[in-house]
Amino acid sequence: MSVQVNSMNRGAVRSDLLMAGFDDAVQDAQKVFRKVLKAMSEPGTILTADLTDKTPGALNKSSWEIALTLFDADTKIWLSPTLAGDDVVVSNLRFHCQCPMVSEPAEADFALALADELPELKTLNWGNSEYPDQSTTLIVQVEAITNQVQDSDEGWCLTGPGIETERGLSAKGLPYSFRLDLVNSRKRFPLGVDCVFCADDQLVALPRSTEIKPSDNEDGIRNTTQQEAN
Amino acid sequence: MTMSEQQSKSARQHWISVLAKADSKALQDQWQALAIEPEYQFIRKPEIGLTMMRGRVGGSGQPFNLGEMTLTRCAVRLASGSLGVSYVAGRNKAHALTAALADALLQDRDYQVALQEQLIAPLEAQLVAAKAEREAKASATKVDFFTLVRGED
Repeated sequence: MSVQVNSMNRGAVRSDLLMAGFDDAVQDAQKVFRKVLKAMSEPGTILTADLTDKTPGALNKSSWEIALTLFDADTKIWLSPTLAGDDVVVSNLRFHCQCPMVSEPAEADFALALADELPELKTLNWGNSEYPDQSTTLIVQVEAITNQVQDSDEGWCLTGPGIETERGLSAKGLPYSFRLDLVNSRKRFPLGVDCVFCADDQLVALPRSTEIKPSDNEDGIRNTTQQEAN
Repeated sequence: MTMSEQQSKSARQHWISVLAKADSKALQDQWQALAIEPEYQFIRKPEIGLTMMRGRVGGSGQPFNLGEMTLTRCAVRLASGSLGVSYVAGRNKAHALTAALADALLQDRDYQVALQEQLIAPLEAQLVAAKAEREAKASATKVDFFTLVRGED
């Protein structure tokens, strides 16, 4: 582990707001990394990351733990307005991760957003043909995630690599326009944005390789995708 | 920043510097002699890493990377709420923890005077003595070079 004293950011960290990160930084980060890896390789699988007691400000457990695990001095972070305006969140991220913050989502390696403050998908970095891996990874805090989609307006049916047949997923609180953009973004594969949805201590990943079909009662999206497929 | 904030900041810089540079054994001995056992929580457990040291030739040239050095750092929060940090050269985690605890306690007015007198002052005296000894050793081997004026005419 390298200690980076010279961070790109010289903004003040408020020491009175700092709180503890992982109990055991190395072991716990590896545990959470393993969960994110499993979530990404088996899209739609809901995993639990419950290694911390307290989280800074509006961050929930899983997004705070992902931040502690994946963010470092080499990853540029974009925060949605509420998070970026919260000294507790910013001070703790700077202290524990030393991550540089950027004001434009397109520059970010990771974008961390509340569900009602999502950036437009097109403003994120989708990577380029030579390096599709350089895209932004979007981490979204949502109210709840579940694999039960029967009675949900917000349900998806996922297919693709890592899913044997199909898997239901519903992330509550995502705006309609975002869900529409996400479905449409699949047409630009291999370019795109990988998403992780975090609800309390649960997390689920939706990489760009996963095909999304809206569940049946979501007419808007289904019609749009059908039209464009024709 | 007000004058008193500036003063307390430089005072803190001073004791952090003494705590970091102090001999590990001397620090532990002095600390244990004080018999203070504050209640604390780790914000950052002592961890060892590398930091790049940068220098300037003659103090004014272009900055260059001198090399990496091992560093141990630690941050603790006392029950009273004050946060202590330490960055210590080397790999001694106990030193980093003690230095962070001392930094946190020194910010507490109840402990400040006693700790300054019984911890910082003796450690600083040792540092000054060690420095003087080293300088004396070095100056004993000093050679004065001088050039004789040649009788050109």
